[in-house]
Amino acid sequence: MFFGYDVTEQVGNRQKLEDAAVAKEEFLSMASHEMRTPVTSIKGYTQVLESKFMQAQDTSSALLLSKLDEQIDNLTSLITDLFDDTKVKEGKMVLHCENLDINSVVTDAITEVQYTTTDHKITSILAPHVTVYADRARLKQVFVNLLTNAVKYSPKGKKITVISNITQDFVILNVEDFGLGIPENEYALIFTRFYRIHGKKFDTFPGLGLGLYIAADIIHRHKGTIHVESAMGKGSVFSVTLPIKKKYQIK
Amino acid sequence: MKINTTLTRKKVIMVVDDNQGILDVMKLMLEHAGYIAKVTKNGNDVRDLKSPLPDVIFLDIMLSGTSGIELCKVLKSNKDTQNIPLIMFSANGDIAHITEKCGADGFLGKPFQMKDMLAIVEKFTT
Repeated sequence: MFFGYDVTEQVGNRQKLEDAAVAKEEFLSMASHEMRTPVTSIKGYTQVLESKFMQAQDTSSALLLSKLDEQIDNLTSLITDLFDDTKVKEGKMVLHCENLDINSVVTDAITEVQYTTTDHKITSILAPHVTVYADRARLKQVFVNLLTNAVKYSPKGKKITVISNITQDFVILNVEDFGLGIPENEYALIFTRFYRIHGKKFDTFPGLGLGLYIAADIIHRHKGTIHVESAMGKGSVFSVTLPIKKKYQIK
Repeated sequence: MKINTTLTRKKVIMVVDDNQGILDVMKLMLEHAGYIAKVTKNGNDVRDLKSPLPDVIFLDIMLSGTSGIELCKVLKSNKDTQNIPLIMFSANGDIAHITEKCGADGFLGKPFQMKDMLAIVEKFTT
């Protein structure tokens, strides 16, 4: 006797779900790409106007436009996160690695984030001459994300530091703030997709909950690790560990 | 932001993009900084460049019709145009990798800081 099951319907349904998922990813990819074009124009006009007001010595109008420019940058980073999210989910993030001095990446990120705040002072103590084999743009993206978060979640803590230490095989970079802190039971959750810390103090901060999820993916692709330690009301330390490229390995 | 608007000799910067909004704002930014901007939506305009040649070309990657990558290869294989600095620009996140493949001289991701765009122009015109 033979028992058989007709699975045509199940296979058809699975195919429909897969097609819908692909269509959704393609749409998000295309949409985030298309959104950057008008943002480029808006940003350009804003910067030209700001420059003209500066030349006319109308600093108060120039300041308004620099605030507008900052908000455009926030919008850009949301769009970028949306775009990267689809890449992370599809496992399609491609790294373009080279031997590079990690300090130059961290310094670039500090300069970029310091430019956005006059309330915080970002300082660094970095071990000299540490070479890593990494994608410069992606690694900078990680440190810009960590520093931007440090600024965002430290409304009263004005100091942010980046300190690096080296072991035989790794460089450990700690980004420390003196802000709101993170509940211990959420240390791992903050690196998951769309996760946002809830609570009275946190709900006022905008965001999609994608930045750390993308940062963790980038670090893992570099064969590194990222984790956080924190004390509520005292601040947080995000630690990024990356393998060092040793002299005999550099070609 | 301080932009140097005093240049001794005006350089000609060509911009190729199929989006009129990008062309308008690039023209505004470049002219504000003292350059002469020649903008076009038609990628084929760079195929038959006549003297005087532009000092720098910004070329969008995702042009309708012939792609920017293809045009980049055409320009770089022509002895009359191969020395013109060619900057690819795009909203595509993997622009660095694409630029490497087609032999362009640089790249600029959209959106960008005006000072970064002008720094690229200055680098290739001084």
